[in-house]
Amino acid sequence: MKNRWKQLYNSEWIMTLLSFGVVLVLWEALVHLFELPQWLLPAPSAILGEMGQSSGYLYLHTMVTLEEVLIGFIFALGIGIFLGVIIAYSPLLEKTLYKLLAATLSIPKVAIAPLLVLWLGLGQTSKITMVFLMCFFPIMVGMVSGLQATPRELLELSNVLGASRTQSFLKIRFPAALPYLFNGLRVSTSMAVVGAVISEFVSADKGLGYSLLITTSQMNGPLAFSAVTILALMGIALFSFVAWLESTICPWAKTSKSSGRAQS
Amino acid sequence: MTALLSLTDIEKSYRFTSGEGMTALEGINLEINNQEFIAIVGPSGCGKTTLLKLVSGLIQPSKGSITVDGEPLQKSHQHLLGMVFQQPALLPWRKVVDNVLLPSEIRGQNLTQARASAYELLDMVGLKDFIHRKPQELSYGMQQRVSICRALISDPKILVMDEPFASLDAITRFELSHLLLDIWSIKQTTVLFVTHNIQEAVFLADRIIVMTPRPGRIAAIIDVPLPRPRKEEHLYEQDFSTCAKRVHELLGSNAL
Repeated sequence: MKNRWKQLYNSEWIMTLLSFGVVLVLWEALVHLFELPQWLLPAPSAILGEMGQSSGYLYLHTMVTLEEVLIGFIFALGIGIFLGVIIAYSPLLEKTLYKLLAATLSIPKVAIAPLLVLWLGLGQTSKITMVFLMCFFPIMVGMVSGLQATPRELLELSNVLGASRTQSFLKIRFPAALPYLFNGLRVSTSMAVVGAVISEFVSADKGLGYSLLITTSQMNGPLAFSAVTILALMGIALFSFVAWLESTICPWAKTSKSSGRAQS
Repeated sequence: MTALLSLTDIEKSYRFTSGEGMTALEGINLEINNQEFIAIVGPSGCGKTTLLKLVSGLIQPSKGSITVDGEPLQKSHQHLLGMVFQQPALLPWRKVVDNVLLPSEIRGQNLTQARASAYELLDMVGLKDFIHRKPQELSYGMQQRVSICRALISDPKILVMDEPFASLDAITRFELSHLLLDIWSIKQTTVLFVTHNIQEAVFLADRIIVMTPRPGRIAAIIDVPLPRPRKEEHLYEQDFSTCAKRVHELLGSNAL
């Protein structure tokens, strides 16, 4: 019996779920205890009920935002990796383009959101571009630093074996850089949803950010909280997907630190 | 009989961007015969690594010439050479056997054939049960065995080893020294073995090249008078300690 408890205690999943459960129960209790109005803070049960009732409406807006997030993210992934590779291989581009891009990093992306609408119109293009801008930098920086951090002994190995530049890239440097790339990817997943919501705030006629703006102005607490919940879930899903991908593609990034080696 | 590898009047100097120059190696004359076991001993900064880089064709000498089998050393000789570093330098995303196969892949050799010899090599170093494991599941000593197999996969004439056992504990080090001698006699390769450890050099080598720093020069080449095959009891013989003492003295008087 004691062992059972210990197992439960050690299981990361159970403990995480449990802590979520505790927070939800407390929330529910507090709302009822203090009789908070729905527009201020709806109870979790009310939010869940609203999500069921307005599922059609929420589905519509979720799909719009999800599309913006995914397309922007995929563009950022492709262009980030491509630019990362050519920058890592070209000292000239590193001194020019990389420094230039790093400088634009300091511009708060939120400030560009209205400009993007001005340049790209009210449609989804301006939102996708915003998501792209938010995600692109961490991915590119991850790629560049990963390629620059190839362990010296692996570079020597590739030299001694007489590997061509392409072979050295494909067989040694790119796979060795993957853990760094995934670091960048994990950062950018959280930025992606933020980017979409921010630019929907500026101007849009659909999407969860837009619906959040409308429902709060109508003081529709449950629906606004439903939108927030879905946005959170979207971020978690994207993050989990990237984490799963990392553990599938490059499990060594984590196992190299853990023990469990065989003895010679 | 011509030597397998001969270095004549080798000098290697570097020029820094500040305009200052530095001579890493000077007046290196060396003949290495086929199937010889050569140890190179010297304090850090004596140009051992530079010497290995020259031999492996990674850098060119400033003066002098290097010949292999009587021909000038070229990039195309790289397949004659197997290299083992101080670190195992294994790729963590590849299984043990695929790490051993890396040189064959890069050189575009027949992989079915190479795979068979990779199995054979891994069996020889006692890693038969670890063929499909990932390197990080292996101990450091086992990883270094894998890297020896990788160096041997293309049947090199010369096995170049840059302080390969320096990061191992004494017991593993001794085990691997024995293993290396076995491999050397089975594969009949020539070995060029850089080490800081005098005992190790005497135990393994036919000849010991003692080097001194700034600029790197050969202080002496010492013949090791011990019979083959080498055994533990040789460690406690008069010849062993005399030879080790000789190397020690040469290093001691010149290293300062």
